[in-house]
Amino acid sequence: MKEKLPRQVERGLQDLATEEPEPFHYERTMTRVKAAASNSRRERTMKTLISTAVGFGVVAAIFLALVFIPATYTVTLGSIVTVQLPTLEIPQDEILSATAGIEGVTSSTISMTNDQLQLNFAFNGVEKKEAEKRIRTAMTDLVSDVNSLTMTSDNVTVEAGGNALAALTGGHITINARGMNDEEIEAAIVAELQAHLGAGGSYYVDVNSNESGEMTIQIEATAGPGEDLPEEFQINVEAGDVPSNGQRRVERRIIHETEDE
Amino acid sequence: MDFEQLVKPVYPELLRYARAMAGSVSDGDDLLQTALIKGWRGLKSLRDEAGFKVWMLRILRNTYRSQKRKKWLRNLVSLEAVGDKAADTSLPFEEKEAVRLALQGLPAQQREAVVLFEVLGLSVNEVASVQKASPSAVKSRLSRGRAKLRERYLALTEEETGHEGKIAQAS
Repeated sequence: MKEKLPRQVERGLQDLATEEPEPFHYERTMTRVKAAASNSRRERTMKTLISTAVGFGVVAAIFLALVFIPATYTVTLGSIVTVQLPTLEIPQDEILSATAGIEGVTSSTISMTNDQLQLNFAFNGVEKKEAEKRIRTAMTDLVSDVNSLTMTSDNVTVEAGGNALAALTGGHITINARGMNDEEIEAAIVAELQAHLGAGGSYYVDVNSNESGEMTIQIEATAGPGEDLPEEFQINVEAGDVPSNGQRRVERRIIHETEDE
Repeated sequence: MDFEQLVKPVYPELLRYARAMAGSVSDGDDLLQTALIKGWRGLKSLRDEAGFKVWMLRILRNTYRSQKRKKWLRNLVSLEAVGDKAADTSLPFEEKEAVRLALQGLPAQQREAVVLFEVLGLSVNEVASVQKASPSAVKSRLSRGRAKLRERYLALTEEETGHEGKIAQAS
């Protein structure tokens, strides 16, 4: 079975077989994988109708599902920072103890090359500027001038679909509608939709109260073609105080739903 | 089952497989990332943690095939892709890269068998399990694959020493 291979090929195969991932390769990949895996790929249009009685004071939760077209956002998930120090200037155990508690660090390594000591930090949820700042703060007692530390940093970013962004940002919007009339509530919802829908998006908002004080909020929202939007986010309309007897009525009815793959 | 705990120990092997199959570091990294996302989402279908590596290699394999099909379709309509490929292969001609490039000249099943056996160090039976083939079929693929790899490598190195830029055409 063994075909004799040239020595260079054997060596090349051996190199491939022993190839190790670059520093933080695993962390970078898994950060992106986690973000992408939470991104459901449903594409649909949903219209939601909410009917609620503001007379009793309610918090109405409106769930909007927007057309999600798999366009992308660049989201910063964390950062990688490398610090270089002259070897022997500071004992390694002191560095380790000073940097052990830096908030947001998911992994760190120390390596030595010639006359340089290299510290690598991977941060989760911290952008590079802030990460550098935290490292400088942690090393204040070790280095006479922390601002002179040689640092290189890089943000770990991911191209995320719109609903991944919603997952990352929580996707929650709260409108405090206490004391507002129908038009004002409508305007507040429109403002939020405008902020979240791109230029090509469209929406329809209607807020109406009847004589008995029952309010109906109707929202339809659709993203423009190619726009990256949260597939689903939530608008809370705080329309008044919850009454002492605790009565509230929140009715949510999906009146239309289509799959749009 | 914690996906990350399962991935971490076999990550270097998955990466080697992905890079060797894809033919370049960047394509391999993208391939692995896509496959890991699929793995994460489909973890419920994994019955036995002990079989995670083979399960993940199969996902990588299917992802690679799927990407290759898509790439082929794209290349039908995109002349730019030809330029990109040529640019890709103008990297320094190191042994490792040369072998990676030579591997690209092998038929997919032979290439995969060689990568799994020679690079990842899997046994013939394990390769058979990933490829869903009989051990004798794997042995045959390995034999033919090694012969072809030798031939491809020699052709590439001759081209490289003979005339700069031919590697891109040969690939």
